[in-house]
Amino acid sequence: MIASDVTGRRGVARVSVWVDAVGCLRAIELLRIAVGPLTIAHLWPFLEDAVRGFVYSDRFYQPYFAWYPEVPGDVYVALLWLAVGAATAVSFGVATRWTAAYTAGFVAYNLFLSRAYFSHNRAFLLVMLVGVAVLPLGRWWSVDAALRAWRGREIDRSDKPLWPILVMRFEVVVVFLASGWSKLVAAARADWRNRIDAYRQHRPMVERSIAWLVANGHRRVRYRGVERNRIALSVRAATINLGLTWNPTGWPIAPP
Amino acid sequence: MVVLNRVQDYSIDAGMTVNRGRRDSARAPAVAESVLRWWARRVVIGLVVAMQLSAIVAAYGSPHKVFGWQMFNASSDWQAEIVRVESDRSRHNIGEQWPGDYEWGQLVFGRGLESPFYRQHAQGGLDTTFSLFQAALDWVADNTLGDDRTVRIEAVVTFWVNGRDPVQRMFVSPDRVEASQ
Repeated sequence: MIASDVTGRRGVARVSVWVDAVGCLRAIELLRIAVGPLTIAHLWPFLEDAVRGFVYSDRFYQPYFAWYPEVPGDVYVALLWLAVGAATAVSFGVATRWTAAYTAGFVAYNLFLSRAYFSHNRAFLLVMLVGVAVLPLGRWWSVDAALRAWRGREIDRSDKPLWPILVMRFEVVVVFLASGWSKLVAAARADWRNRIDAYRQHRPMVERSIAWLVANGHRRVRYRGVERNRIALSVRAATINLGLTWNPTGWPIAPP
Repeated sequence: MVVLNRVQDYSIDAGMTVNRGRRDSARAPAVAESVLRWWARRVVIGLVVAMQLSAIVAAYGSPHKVFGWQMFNASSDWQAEIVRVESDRSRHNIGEQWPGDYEWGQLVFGRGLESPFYRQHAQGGLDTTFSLFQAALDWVADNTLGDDRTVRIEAVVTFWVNGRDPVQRMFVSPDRVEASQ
């Protein structure tokens, strides 16, 4: 077995450790509690519009996909209020998985209903909602757990798979890396490209000549033979130094 | 069903801290699971990672940065002067009397599009703003059925890229059939 095989298998084993990890989900219940008010705050402008009698189709909207289903206004308002109720239920831990799944589903539907609705914090809220919906939460600090305890039933607080948290952490890391990359590296590269293009367009004639000479590994001359190129370069250097420009009538001095 | 008997030598809390070698505190001594679940987990994680990375790459070529996480756009501003062009070629500012009693701010909302008459930051960048603004012009032209005089809507957008000198660009909606009927 060669060393790279060992390293590769260790890498795979290390990834498997994280992917197959199980553990206690009590700490992440705090996210479940917080995500309800955040969702209601996100839906608040749509609620205000609904109260005033406006729905999405009464104003400019542009779905992301041509085939995207557009529900009638009354149905939309009903789904919106249901989402508010579901988000509240998520925070209190009432039928947590179902209410979290519905909340995530509606927020996703609403987000893709119009490009004008998109913002990065809404997209990140959706990521967190999906995470909360996938994780088996509602076993601590929840109405579900309290009801089970009141009925004398056992609350399943055993260790659960943690891979959704791994995905959520990946998303958090990606948010930082992608935004940093777009702001620092990509923007700097675009700015650098613009400067290079502007420089190439407006650089002095002497630098243009030098660049022309040294291009392609310093192997580019216009004429065949050393002497012919020496004469051509001498004339060109002299004309540049004297501020002359060539036109069909000769070498007049360029106007200032 | 095929079952994998796998012994977990570690315990992990929700903070994903691996406590190696602490078997006494291990809370998952043995886990039996199906091969299907074992693979499904990897497929789902792989799909999420692939889709997320694809969205980041695609965002560089699209005006809409959905899940591209390009949150710090350029410090560019824009404003627009929008006019209605009637069949006699007369031009009327969109803020003036509009047949059908429409108002731009009631028809268009979001991303700063509701008040384009004043210089403002281009939310999401100029590309995103221009794409949405053109779509908004098209939508307004299509959905103001009570206006039987406007042939099309035109807008002259002045924008400043990162505080540089102003540049102007013209946006035109498609011709409306309502005005010709």
